[in-house]
Amino acid sequence: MSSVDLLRRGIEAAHADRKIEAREIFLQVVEIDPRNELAWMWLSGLVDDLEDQIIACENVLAINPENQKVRLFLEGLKRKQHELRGEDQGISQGQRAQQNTQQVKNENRMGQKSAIRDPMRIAGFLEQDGKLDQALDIYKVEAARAKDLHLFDQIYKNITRIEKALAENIKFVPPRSSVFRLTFTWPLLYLSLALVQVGLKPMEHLTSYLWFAFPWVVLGSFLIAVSEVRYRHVIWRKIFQETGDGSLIARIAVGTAGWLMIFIPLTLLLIDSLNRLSVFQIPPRLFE
Amino acid sequence: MLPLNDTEPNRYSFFPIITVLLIVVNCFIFFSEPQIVDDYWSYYMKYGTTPVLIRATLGGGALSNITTMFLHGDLFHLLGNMLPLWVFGRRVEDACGHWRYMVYYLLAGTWANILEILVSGDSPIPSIGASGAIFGLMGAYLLLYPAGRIRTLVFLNIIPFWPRIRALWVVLYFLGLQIIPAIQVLLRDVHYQVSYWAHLGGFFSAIFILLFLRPEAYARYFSDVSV
Repeated sequence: MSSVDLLRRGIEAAHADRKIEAREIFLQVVEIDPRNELAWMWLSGLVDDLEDQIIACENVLAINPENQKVRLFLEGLKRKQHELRGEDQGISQGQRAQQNTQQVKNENRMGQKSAIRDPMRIAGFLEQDGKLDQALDIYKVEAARAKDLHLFDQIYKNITRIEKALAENIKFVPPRSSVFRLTFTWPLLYLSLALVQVGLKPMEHLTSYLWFAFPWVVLGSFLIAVSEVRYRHVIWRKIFQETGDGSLIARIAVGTAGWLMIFIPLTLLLIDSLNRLSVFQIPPRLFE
Repeated sequence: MLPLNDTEPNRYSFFPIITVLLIVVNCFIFFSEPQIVDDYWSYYMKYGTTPVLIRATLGGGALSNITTMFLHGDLFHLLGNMLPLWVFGRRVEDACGHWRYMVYYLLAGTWANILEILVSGDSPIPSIGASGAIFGLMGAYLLLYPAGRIRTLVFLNIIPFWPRIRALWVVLYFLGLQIIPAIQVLLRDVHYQVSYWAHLGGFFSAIFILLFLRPEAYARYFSDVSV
């Protein structure tokens, strides 16, 4: 479904007061098209959190600075935010960190897409997009906010990993190209084994099931690669209705499907080999 | 010259489970053979790679192509393959990830057999051993870690030394040992007990190693830093 169709569905849902459904649809739209002004506008009214509303408005203004209606709305939201903060006497360390996160969120408004609420996911997405500096900023803020040691360790690992990558000037490889590359692995092996099975004469065995099974191996290998490489693949949205880079369950499901698709052709190959082996006798004229 | 150990640590994984598993399976098969095999010749014909049988689509075909990688003629053959498997396989497994390393290992062994079959297609002599796959690992190691250091046992006359030699020289040394006999097999129809063309086939399968690398290792490879 195109972003225009989704937008239409989202507006319909919003008019019908199906707020949660509408919000999910608009989040899908901004994931497909992060510069969709209309979707961000709708989101500014649909998200519950004040900070998320501000982010959505700022995204609208980043796309179209001339949008006076949203500018006024944003000013109102910021006033409200200021009032809420003013209610608390003194600003604690945790609140300062929260403000920093907010600042980073604002700076990364194009990278956050659908994971508005979870800074760790935002950072993950930014990493997938090769924006390591921005991801690092978020991790640092989150490390300052971390309340338990386990979470802090987890974030700290990410920080050291990114800092090392930045120090070594590691080039960014798009996840999409990693999936493409890794897809070749199993088909290469299967093709080589099938070649040996047919005595290196593929043209004489064109009708063999071995060659019909080949596309299955390619597809299976692709699914395994998709389940291994973290990025916002269309599979997660289309099949699992997920907006991010695939939940654990979705990944396991796709990976298992991939392994099965490879396992079946390889098993057929093995059965064929075993059948041949069971009737094999050394030809008596072999050494004449 | 005998490679003893790769002196560099792993970067991504803790334990080279597939490398160790391959060594265990190879040793297990070797030491259990005397109990289960009566006629070694027909055993090797059945489970080894016999070029003439493969070309005639007789015998196990793809299965024999895999089983041959786990058969060894004697203890020196076994040790001569398992030691380099440990030395060169550990960090290649680290760079690829366990499953992809396994697939690459089998691919290298298969390509070794394919080249052997192409070069000596009418040979009725079965070839066995993991050396083709191990040459694949050596080629991969050369591409991924040319500056790596290998602890190598070297004898000067009878005096043993074990310096850390650059992987580039160790691999080139073993590759160099294959070239002349391989040319002789091809041009003069000389027969050796060693499948030199299988070694070269395995070695050249390393051109595919970049397809098998985990994404982080692939990014590092193209960033001119150690993989």
